[in-house]
Amino acid sequence: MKEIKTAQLQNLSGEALEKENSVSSSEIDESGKKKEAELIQIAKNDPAAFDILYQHYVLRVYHYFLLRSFDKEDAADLTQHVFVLVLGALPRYQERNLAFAAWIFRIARNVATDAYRRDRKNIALELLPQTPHPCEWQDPEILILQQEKCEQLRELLTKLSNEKRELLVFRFAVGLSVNEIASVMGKSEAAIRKQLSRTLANLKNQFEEQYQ
Amino acid sequence: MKHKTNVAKNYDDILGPNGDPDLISFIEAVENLYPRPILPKHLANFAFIPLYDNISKPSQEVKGTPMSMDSVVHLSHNSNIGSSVFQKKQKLSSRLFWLPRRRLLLVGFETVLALTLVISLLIAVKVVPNPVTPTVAANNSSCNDGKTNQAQLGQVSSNPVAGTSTEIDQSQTLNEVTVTVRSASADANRIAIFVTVNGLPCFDYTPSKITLTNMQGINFPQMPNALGAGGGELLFDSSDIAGRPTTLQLHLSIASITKQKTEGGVELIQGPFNFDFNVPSDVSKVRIARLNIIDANSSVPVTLKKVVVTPSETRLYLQGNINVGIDYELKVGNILINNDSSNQHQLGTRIITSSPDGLTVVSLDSPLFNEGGEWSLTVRPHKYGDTKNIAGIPPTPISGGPWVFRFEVPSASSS
Repeated sequence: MKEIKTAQLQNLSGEALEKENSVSSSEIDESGKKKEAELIQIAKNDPAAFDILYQHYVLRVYHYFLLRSFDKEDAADLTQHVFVLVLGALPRYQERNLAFAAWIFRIARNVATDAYRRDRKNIALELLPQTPHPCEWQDPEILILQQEKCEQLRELLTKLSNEKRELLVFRFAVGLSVNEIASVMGKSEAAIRKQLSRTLANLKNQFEEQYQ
Repeated sequence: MKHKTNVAKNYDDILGPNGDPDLISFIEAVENLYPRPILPKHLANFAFIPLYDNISKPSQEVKGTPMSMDSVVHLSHNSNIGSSVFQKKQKLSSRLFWLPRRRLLLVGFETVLALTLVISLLIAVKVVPNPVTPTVAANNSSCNDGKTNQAQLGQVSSNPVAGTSTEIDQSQTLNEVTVTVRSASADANRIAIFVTVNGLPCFDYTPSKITLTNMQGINFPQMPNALGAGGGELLFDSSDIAGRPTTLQLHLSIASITKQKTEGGVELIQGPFNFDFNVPSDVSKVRIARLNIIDANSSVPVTLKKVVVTPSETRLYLQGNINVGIDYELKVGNILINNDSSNQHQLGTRIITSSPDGLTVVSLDSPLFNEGGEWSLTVRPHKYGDTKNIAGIPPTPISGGPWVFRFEVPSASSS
């Protein structure tokens, strides 16, 4: 029985989540989501399945906390905290109400906000890329955008409101879909889509103006 | 070009089917502003056990063959999901992780101060005190040297687990690590076992994959305790013991010990460390109030199903759509006895959100066993943070609460 279950898990993990843990939820196709849902059902009773989900999401949650300006140690602590909460509440999770990724990041957002309020003197709410050399272009076609341009883009982000920055973090760093962001932020999908499109369009215009 | 196609595909929810090529390039630039970080090894190394595993397992399975956690390790090594390069897994199952490490240090410092104060008082007054929980007694020393601090150990052994505890004093040494079961106690709510590693309870050593079974093969689910599994006191839920035996014949198995190395990282000391011992179970000391009181005044009705009071713990069984730990906490709340404001006890000591029957169980360590009269329980959903917007982030809206219940708990004889 145990062997069957293990094999089942391996099968599920292989098919649904083998796209490595850096894959964003928007990249998971419908079949992948179905497999993920099966994995969640199993994980409600079997920690082995939860471990697979953990491995799948941990990097993104950790990344989110880093972008929320927590240092590496605190980001790791808070990431652990999030998954303890997720594990404890997993039996209550119902897919039809909330996508799993959105559910996890809603918890992560609450945890971050809580930690920020508790320790507000020490944490700046930046939601900005932290690396000193943020642009690591991998596509040769984009190499024309030099480091200077990256810094400019980052500078433009600093002028955005926290809400808009968080929107960008959820979409481009964490990889949540518009629908999932709407669930996390408690807004309608249309509102998030509109806000995201406007923010991007404005950023693009400002960027082009500055650079021309 | 392929990358651009991927960008267009990944962001089709904001680009639409015929995305503007300029915008695609721009999105690519924005995306590249957020390079993925490297995941710390200790995060990649975690494995999970259920906080509240209500599946009873036959004793041979527990003793003889690897438990489900081994399949977790096995899976992680074979599933190409990120952690296969790491050889060691660490358990993430206790409330230890609810406190950031720096706060744990602070807690340790505070407990040392408190202990010093208590000892000074004892010497001055020459009175035998209520036993101090040993997890509090000795978490100030580093255990990394592997040596036993005899003075501390003396304090520990003279202060066994709070309540009616039985001295066990069984040790097992493997790979230069000695695990000792010093004492244990049991009542109708929980079994408490005080374990030391290399002489002291210590955060540097964390017992992993702990199982406690009785002779019938019933598995007692491990409960989170205030200081975590490495804090010395291991707690197990005994509320489902059949027949209320007066003595429990227990088998404790610790599959491995995780040692926090001073230079960083962790080392896994492979067990198993096995112990068999008997513990008297003080089952007669239990007060149970079966209530089914519904507070429907709030937008989310909640039912107080049952209250179980033992000398070690008071448990409140709540039913309702209360998503504790996700949208809010239940830390703001109290039990007020006989409307006496000087006799109130705060909630939030321990909350189990996934009890086998789907109830939310809130427990208090406060000694309420001898409290009579009318009890008034108030449970307030506590938002993460306060109610004001901070930096543009609105607080998570919460629904329901506060829930108020008034009731009486029958005495032990009539329960």
